[in-house]
Amino acid sequence: MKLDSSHRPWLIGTVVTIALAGVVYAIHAASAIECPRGDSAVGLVFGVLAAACLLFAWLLSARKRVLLLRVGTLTWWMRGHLWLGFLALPLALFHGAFAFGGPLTTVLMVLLIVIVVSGILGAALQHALPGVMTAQVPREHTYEQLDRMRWNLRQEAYELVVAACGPGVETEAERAALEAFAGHPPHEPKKITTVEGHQTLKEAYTLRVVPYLRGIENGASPLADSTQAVMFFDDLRPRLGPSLHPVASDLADICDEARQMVRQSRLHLWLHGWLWIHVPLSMALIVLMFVHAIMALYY
Amino acid sequence: MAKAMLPVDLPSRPGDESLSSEELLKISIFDGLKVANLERYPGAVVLRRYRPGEVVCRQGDAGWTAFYILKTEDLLALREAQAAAGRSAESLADIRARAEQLHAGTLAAKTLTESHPHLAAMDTHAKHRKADEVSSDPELAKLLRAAAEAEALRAKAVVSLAIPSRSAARGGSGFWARTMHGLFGLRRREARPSQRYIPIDGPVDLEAENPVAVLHEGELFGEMSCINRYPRSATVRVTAECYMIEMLRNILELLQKNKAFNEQMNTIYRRRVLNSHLRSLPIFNEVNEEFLHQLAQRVQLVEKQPGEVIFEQGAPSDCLYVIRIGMVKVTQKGPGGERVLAYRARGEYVGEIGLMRDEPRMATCVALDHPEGEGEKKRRAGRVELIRVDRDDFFDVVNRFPDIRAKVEAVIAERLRPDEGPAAPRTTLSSRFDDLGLMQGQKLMLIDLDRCTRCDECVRACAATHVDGKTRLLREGPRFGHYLVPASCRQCLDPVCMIGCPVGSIHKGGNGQIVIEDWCIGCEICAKQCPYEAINMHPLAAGDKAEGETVDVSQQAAVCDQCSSLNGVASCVYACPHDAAIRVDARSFFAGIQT
Amino acid sequence: MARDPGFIWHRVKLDYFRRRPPFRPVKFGLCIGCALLAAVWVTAGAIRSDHSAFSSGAMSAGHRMLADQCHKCHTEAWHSLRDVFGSSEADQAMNRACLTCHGASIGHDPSSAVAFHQASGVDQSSPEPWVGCASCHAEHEGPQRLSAVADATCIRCHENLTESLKTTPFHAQISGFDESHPEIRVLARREPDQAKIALNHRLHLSPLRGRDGSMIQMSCADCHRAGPASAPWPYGTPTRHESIDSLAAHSEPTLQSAYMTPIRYSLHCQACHELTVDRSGERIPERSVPHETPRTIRTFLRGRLTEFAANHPEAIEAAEKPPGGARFTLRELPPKEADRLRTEWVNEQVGLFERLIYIDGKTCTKCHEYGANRDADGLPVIAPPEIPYRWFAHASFDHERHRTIDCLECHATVGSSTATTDVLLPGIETCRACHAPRTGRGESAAGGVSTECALCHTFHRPPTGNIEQPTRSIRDLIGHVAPIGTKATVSR
Repeated sequence: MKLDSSHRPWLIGTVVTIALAGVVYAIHAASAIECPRGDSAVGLVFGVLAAACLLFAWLLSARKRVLLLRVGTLTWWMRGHLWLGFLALPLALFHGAFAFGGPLTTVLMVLLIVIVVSGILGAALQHALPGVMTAQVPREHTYEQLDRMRWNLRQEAYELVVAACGPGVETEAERAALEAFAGHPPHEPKKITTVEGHQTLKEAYTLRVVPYLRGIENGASPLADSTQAVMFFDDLRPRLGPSLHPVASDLADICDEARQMVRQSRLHLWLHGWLWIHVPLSMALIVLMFVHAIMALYY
Repeated sequence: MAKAMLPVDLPSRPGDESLSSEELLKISIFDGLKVANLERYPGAVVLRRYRPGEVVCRQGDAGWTAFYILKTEDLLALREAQAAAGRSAESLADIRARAEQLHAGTLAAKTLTESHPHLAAMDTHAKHRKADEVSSDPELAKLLRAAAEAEALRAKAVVSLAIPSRSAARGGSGFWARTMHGLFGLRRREARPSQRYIPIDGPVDLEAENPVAVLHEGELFGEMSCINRYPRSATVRVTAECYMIEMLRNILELLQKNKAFNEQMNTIYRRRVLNSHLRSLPIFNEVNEEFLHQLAQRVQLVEKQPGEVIFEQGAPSDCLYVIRIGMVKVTQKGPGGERVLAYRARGEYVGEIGLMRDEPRMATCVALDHPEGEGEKKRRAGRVELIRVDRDDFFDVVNRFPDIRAKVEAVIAERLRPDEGPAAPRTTLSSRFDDLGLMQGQKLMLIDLDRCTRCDECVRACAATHVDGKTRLLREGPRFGHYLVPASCRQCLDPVCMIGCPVGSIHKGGNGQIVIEDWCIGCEICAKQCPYEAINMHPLAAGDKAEGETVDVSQQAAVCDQCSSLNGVASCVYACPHDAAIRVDARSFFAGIQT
Repeated sequence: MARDPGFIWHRVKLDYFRRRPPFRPVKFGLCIGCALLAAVWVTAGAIRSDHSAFSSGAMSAGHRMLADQCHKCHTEAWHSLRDVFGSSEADQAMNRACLTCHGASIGHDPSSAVAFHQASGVDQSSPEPWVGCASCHAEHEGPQRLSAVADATCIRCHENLTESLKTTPFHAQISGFDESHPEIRVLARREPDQAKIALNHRLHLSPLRGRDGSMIQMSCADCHRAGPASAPWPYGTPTRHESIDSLAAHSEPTLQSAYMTPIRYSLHCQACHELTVDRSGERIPERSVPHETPRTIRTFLRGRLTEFAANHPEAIEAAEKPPGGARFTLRELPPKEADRLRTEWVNEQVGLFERLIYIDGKTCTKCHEYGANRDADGLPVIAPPEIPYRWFAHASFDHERHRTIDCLECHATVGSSTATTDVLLPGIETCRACHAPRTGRGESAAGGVSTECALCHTFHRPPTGNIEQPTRSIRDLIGHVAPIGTKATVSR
């Protein structure tokens, strides 16, 4: 979500609404007869408006499930969620006359503040981070596919090395792991000619590349850092025969892709991690909101 | 003498005959070939005899051979040669009698072709009906009937396409799925195809409404299976006793280089297929049958390889090209360098401006292709097929049909408009733009990566829209600037995905979208053909296996249909909460980009 | 060698979006969990009949035991909802709930000047616009004293009374104890003191000669004291209980320390103003008549004179002697004649004394007002003095609180007052000398004492009559605790 000029109508609407509400509240608070309370006429109107905003915000998750019912694009609903959700906070404050009230209403207010603040934070993250991810992760994949992609990388690395140097006892463990995952053994060439440096390559592959690809989140491996990885492969290449240089380069490329996967994971968690606070708390908020509305009118 | 290949053992049937090279040369299509050519491939050809009711090949079966139905004349020549060599078994008298019977009818057909070519092209039943209609002209009626009878005699087999229909609601029949379907009723089947013809691996296109046609003597079928190893695209069942020769690819390739063969095939093409192809072009929509047939005889079919120049800027304008298959790029050299004016695709025409105004060509026209791909993804190179209409024929058409003249002049006016014509800013020759094949996209999907939060709503929306719950969109693909070009159908101007489908299940729908029907057999050809990974093979669950006469299907292709069955925008665009997904016509979207 | 990625459907898992990524089930679980937690929290309380979670704020100090007994005050369901639709039934029911405990202490006095506030809250038949207890005593505002009503609560109506009342006899714009607060009504209207007693304060405060001849300087406290009398009244003889004093006492409520002890003859005047009628003490041994009604005085006189007549027949004989006639003694006269003579003499003497008391300016006329009217028995009709004990119609003033200040600091006009009609109340400016916002510093300092409305305008009158019999049990108030002494006790 880029907060760009297309949000202007919403921004203007929200600011105008807050200003109007503030004026109404100020008049109401200063009035002689009625003090500002939640269930005074003005207070009730604020409360209902705040509840309506929060209900609309909550309905976004329901809206995502029934996409084929064309009642407004998701872009419009998302913008409404953002701005009306934000608007709910001042309206709720006006509704409660800036007091937190009893246990239930205190919890509600705290929840609302946490949710709105986390939403603002999330909006800021989702404004800034997509560009960052685009720039920092040129080889981006779908996040949910990253596990699968990692296996693809391992398979590709194995097939590269084995195509150049032939299988061996060192690569057996990796072969078994790949077979266990895919359900069929990886592709191996029929004829193998021993090439100069193949043992070195196999060692480098088995001792460095395989452990790294197995656990790319582990930052201890030298291949986890791009500079160290460059040095590693630059050091490796002279010890290999010229025909193996392309293989080494491809292995370097594979490691780079793996590093980008780590970066992508981290950025993705930043992009979406805040939702762990925002969404569950909002469920509690909606439940308590209804309870509050009913019980406040009951008493 | 050249070395011979190892002898081939084609699967044998009772009544098979293997022919010597000299005997083969008696058959008309082998006319012109040398014995030495044929000697190289012993056993690659076999003569088979079929009785009525026998099935030659079934739709979906694996196949790697082509069949040629022997003409009676061919058979006669063959038997006479064999008799001369003392090897004949069959009675020559019967064959001679049949040949005689056919002779008169063949002559009548020839006369008819010369005088009324469009009537000659009609099928047997239509000819009989026409004969009844023109009872006022007994000569014509007689000709018609004679031709019809000859044709009926020549009819040897029936080719048909089985379309097993499926139950309407797929994708879950559990309580929840049914409730949702009932509540929202939203998972609709895609629209029924509205194309008229289904191309098959044979000399005739089958009509979608009634996919049955007749095969006659002298026709070749199974060509695609033979050359490309595609599964058989239709079922051929013999209706009258006939002889066919079954040949392997090497023989067929020999034939394709043979002039006599090509002429015969072309004649058949023109008679049976070209008309329907011409008719499907917008410019010839209004033309009447008779004229169309005349035109069909006069036009030339030109095939260009990708990259070949069709005409150069400055050359004299002597013809008009209508694009039948493929795409061409129109560029113009100007003071600022070479600029792309337009990309034209199937159904459109080029070269009309110079022709109408009697000026030299104002632009260069080059045949274009999708990116070739590498390694596993190296595609069969597309070809650009053009119908060349010469100057005189063009003016003939234009003068006799003022509507067409008006249409062409309207198009010229449109093309010379300031913001459309040569003076308008155009996309410069961006090699990456071409490499990614972006200009093909009439509904190119782009995801703005600076807005996309990678929330996956678009993919989920796509899966939710389709009955089978499979996504047609994947957020994988190349980047162009800050856009991601995801793997989703972009509705190419020149769709190559449809080339080669053996069962004809992939075709264009009513809104120009690509549709893959239920009877896809999962051969992966369309998926491999698509240069942009827009078609994916989805494994079928055990309960969804295809029924009917086809082989076991374990996977099926799925392609984005642009949500044509819904009113409004595509689900992926609709579902993006961050306004990051867009579907654009690439030619106009990127038109304003200057360098 | 460029890496060949292969076909997409081999590279990716095509149904990845179905298998939720790791965090989705957790997130979904968290959502359900949070919602359930919230629901459980509210229902757990509700099931145990403890609705304290729904309270809109902490209870006041005095009502803390009711925090989880909402129904004690919120007797009507859907109170707020009914309010929204304009019904005041629920509010009235809640007021009745207040009165179930506080009814007695609030007091209901229709004649009270604060009747408006009270009657309308309690008496549904009152035609006045309705003001509920909660309008001023807002509960759920935290651990405060509920009875401490802030000024703002009063001012929000009194700032502009005509907003809520079309017409009002009261000053319509009062926004505090400032210039908008009207002058004390009696002073503003320049009404005279209606007491029917003649008193010259100036005279009494100047040096006077006492009965024993010494010079006396009276002070204010000799007659005017608030609070329980600690020292004996210097000019009174409280041991003499006169019924007339009790008569006055019955009509005045006991007001403890707020007001001055009402003026009584026996306490404040007697020492100097003896009703002496017989200096010699011959005929009236007490020398003075009691400070009683004329009828009682006549009875007293008659008694004493009858006694004198009985004991001193020569007085009668001397009085009854005819001119140049023979002397007679009462003993010689037949008894009836003697009685008649005695009675005549007593009557005559009573008449003489009464004349002395009522007409010559030495006794009653000195202080009391009465004209020439006589009642059927020939006795004067003396108006009750009706010395006002309370001057403020709608406020109360506590002299005990001001006991350290010299009386004349506020009642400055006393020294120059000679007539009873002088109202010797200090004006509101005198009050504002202290009861004003603190201003200035050092020499020019002023004000600083509280200006709270409730300081003077106590709202609820104290109860009159008998306190109703208390009937509530501890269980009623506290809720769940068993009465002391029973076996079952629930720990809270």
